[in-house]
Amino acid sequence: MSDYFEMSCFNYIVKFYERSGYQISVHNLQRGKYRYKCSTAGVQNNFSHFSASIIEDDIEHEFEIHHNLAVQSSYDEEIFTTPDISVIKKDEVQITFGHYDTNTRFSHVLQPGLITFFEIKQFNPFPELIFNFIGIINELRPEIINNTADEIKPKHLAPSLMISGKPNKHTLKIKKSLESRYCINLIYDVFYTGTKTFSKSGIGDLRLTGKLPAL
Amino acid sequence: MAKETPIINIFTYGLPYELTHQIYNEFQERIRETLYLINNTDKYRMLKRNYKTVELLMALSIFYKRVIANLDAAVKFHGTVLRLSQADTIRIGNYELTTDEKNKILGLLMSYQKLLRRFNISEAIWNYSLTKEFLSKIIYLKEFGNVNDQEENSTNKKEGGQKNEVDEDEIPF
Repeated sequence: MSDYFEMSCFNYIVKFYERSGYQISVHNLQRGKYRYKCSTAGVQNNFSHFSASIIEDDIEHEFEIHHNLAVQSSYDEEIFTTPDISVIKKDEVQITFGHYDTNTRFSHVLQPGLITFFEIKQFNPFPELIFNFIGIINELRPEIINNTADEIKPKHLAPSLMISGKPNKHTLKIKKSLESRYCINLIYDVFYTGTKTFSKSGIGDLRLTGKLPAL
Repeated sequence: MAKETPIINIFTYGLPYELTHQIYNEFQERIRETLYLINNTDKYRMLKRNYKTVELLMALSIFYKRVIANLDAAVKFHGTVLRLSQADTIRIGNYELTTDEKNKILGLLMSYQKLLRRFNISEAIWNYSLTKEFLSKIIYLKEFGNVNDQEENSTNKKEGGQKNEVDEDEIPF
């Protein structure tokens, strides 16, 4: 069932790109079926993904939206973590051997290929869950922690944590504090407010990649 | 007289074990809190007479959150894939969400919506985190027949509210 919640969030991300003027298409169908990668196991080539393309200043930009794709750390080229949803540059998925003890193939994207990513949690928000997300940000996008991240054009959402459950007073304080320090989105209560958050008028309130907005 | 089947068993009948377990545990936990609040606080005591209804709506709200909302998400994702590609099936592990399967889910979602309309239940009633929030919504539904505008009103009521025998924020378990 939690896969379905992840699907719902994936749908919202696709909707964001559609509403931002991107053309969306589906790639890598397997025997005519969309094969959803619902865990970190498996090689990306055997699963389907979405593409988002847009022409800006006469240049075509194309990106891929993947489920559960390993992303290289920005500190150590041999370590990886797997966000639930990643947006990467086109054709940047790599397959290598030797990552596992066995000679199993390992698919991943290197740091330069990563655009943004999303973590999905089907829980009520609690402090440790939210601070874990900051750990992932630090590993994959440390420039966000230092507020030196460059805006990536055309527009992309800043890395976001999407949580199904409703916040309490304390987790709302944590959201306020973290969003005042880092250019990220902490999206709570996606079950009930997801449609509004990702509506035409709602997406304007979401942070895009780059530095913290000036006050 | 035959023993009545607990409402939560009816809701979870035929569901996979893991999901049944989650629903059952959440239900039991919230019912325990509900009984405590009904028996020990002035504010919720009025629900004592409607306990069976509270129990039924509680079970339905958990079923909505853990089953209906997720199925709805699957149907929407299926719609997106169908709209943007030639695929008619989504494969998730060994499970295949085909168009037939999607239509069955859609039928279930429609029956559910029909049920809510029939009994004039707004989906806003499921939008709660704490059990006491849910109980407040039920009280509002009982008094005014609609919970949509409850949130604004409840903020105003909070300050001048009745003093409870025990503090509803301090449930001892």
